[in-house]
Amino acid sequence: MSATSALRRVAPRLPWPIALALTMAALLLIAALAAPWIAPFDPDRTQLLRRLRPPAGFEGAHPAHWFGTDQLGRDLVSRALHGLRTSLGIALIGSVIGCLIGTGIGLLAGYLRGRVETALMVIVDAQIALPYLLLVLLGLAVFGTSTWVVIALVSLAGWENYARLARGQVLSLRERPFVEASLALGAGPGWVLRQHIMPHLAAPLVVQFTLGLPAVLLLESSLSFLGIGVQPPAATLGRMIGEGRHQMLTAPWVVVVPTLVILALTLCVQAIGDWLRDRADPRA
Amino acid sequence: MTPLLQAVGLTRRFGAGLLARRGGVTAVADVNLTLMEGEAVGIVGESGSGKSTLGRLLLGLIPPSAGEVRYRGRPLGAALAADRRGVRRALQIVQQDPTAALDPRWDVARLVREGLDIHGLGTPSERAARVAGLLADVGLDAGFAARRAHELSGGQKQRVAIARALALAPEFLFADEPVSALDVSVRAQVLGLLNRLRAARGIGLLMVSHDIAAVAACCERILVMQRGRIVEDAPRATLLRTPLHPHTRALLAAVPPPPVALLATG
Repeated sequence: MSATSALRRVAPRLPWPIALALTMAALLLIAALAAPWIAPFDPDRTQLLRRLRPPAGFEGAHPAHWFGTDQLGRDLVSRALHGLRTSLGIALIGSVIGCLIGTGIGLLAGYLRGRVETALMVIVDAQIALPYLLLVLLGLAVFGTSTWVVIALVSLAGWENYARLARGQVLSLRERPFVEASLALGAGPGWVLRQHIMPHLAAPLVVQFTLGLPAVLLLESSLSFLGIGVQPPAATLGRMIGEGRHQMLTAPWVVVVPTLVILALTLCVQAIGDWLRDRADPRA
Repeated sequence: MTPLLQAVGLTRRFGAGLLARRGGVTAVADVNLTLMEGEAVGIVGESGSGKSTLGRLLLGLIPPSAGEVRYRGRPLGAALAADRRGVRRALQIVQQDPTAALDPRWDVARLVREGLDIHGLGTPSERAARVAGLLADVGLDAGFAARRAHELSGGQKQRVAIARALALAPEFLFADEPVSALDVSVRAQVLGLLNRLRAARGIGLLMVSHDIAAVAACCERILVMQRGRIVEDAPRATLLRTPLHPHTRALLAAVPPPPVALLATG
């Protein structure tokens, strides 16, 4: 808790659940970044003599494997760390790409209006109407299942939210009197967008990003669980659950460990997102 | 004196689109008007009479549906196309609600400096000096430069908006209900300031208000608008003493009497 108290000293009015969530999220992020160095074992190394060992403290536990091992004798601490790294990486990169594309399209639609706006919003509506899973299966069938294809597909899952958010913000901001005053001073569209509209967009976008990230994390996990995400032997949190579900009754820890990591991560990010939203706009 | 801005058959309709009620609303209907350099003109009328729309048309902030605006004898559209920056600098606006008119994320110095930044005028230190001078002109001391709009009172915000409009040394100022959003106690100060600054610099003024007293305090010529049309155009003294149009008489009759008069009649 020393990190939490340090945080509280920096921002004394931080509510304790948020301080806790921020600390946890930071620790998880550090763990994901440092996974190759802090993982005690190679995550893909199978040890058939140490299969399905329970976590430390249970009968039959192996002292080297704190969280136990899976059906191939792979160390669950190492797999969870690497799985977190892969899942979080895909979710973060996918979200950033989706956010940039969506915001760009929303800005263009909101500022140019007219036919450009109509055309762009038709694409957004089409994306919303399209069954996402179908799109994913199609994408994977056509392009294969490399990590970058998964990232691209994950980014497709959220961009329309950013586009609609950005467009709505631009439409309301451009009618504000300070924009009219800026135009009267001689500002062009570039100045208005950069100086007046984009700075106001930052807060709602950050909120949308943090609120959207848990959904993207779960989505990546769902794809891996279904076996259509990043391919084996690479560890992702969803793949670990998918592989462990056959031993759920006899060796529940194989599923419980990655589930707890997903739960901790999404809970923290969601709590931070809710808090940011309340700070940015108490009416939402 | 030469004509600065002219309106010729100026018309603006709103909401004539596909989904709107047939015909829409005609906010400004066939207005002909000549504003001289350095002249202070007021427009009074009820809300919805098209006063603000007329001002925005004259500044080229919205396009007319018919007719045209001429800036120094040239069509405003052509003048903007030929020298957008020069014409934009010449025509400035002070809006009704000073809170909405100032970007809440910016500090006062940046707000006042915006025009200089847009046009790239002067070095950073020259701009800072100019901002300090403008703040002094509108009666704000240098300590305000680092404040945000929400830390200011309504009157102080409107002073910042006036400083911003004056930063580019304009030839013409459109003041759209400049004191309507302010406390009664500071209205006279802001009107006095506006009048003093524009007279000293020879800036033409078009002040729109529903309050005849506010307009009469600043403008030697007063126009009365009703449903998009100018129904009376007269020097201040003439209009106040011998109003001709029934709508002008109605507006004058609607001015509330000073509180002391209420005592006398009660």
